[in-house]
Amino acid sequence: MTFVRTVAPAIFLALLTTGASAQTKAPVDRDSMSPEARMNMAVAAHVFDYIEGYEGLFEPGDVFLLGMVAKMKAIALTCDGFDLDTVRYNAIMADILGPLTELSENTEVEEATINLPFTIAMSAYTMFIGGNLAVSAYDPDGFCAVGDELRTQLAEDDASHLLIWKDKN
Amino acid sequence: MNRFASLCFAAIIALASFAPTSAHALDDDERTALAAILALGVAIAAARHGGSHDSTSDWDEERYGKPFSPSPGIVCLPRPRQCYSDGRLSHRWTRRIYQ
Repeated sequence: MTFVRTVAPAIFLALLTTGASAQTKAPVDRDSMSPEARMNMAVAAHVFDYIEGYEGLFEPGDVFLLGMVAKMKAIALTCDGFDLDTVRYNAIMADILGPLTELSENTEVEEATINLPFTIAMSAYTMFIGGNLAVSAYDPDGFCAVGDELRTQLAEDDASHLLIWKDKN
Repeated sequence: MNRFASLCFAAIIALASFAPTSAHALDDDERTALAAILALGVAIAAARHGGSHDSTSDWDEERYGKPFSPSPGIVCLPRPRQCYSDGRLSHRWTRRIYQ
């Protein structure tokens, strides 16, 4: 009895943990993804693939943020009700790209005509924008609905400072 | 290899950026060198991903990792370290899983 009392909870806990783990790592069938989802994911994967070679140049969080800003910029370009707030936009871009600018200022060449890290970052950014414009062309209403979701979600998560649009009237 | 291909691309961008201010047009040697760099970059990219697209129903794990769903309607991609809610980028889930 003592053995059962001791071991049973451990077994139950192990089963529970295994079950929870399986649930949190449920595999995903690619065929179940919508075209919009595939496009979003393909562009993100491609950009990360491109940028991953420059180890240490970008933090994964920065690349994610760059992708989010690109999505919001594409929404501003294609959807009504999402006017770009240039002050907010410039502030966020400066946060992300600022370190790369400092990198170029520290070079010994006074008039460096090419800032390679900055060029790489902007290449990634424009890839994100292009991908988002493609998604927008595929499903304009669905794409613009993402803008409303982002506005709501970021506000709920106390992350409104990441928004680059003017406030809604 | 990926880094090299990216550097090739960046080098081409850099060379292209110089073009408008160049005092002279590209000569034959420069054109040949540029074409060689471009061809090499394309060949490397093709070699890296060429064998991964046999089936449209399989994830390219080199690019996506092994996607998983932590909750219904949510899909996370380990390699790009991003999560999607109903196919749309999710700040909340990405932060929860990867940050």
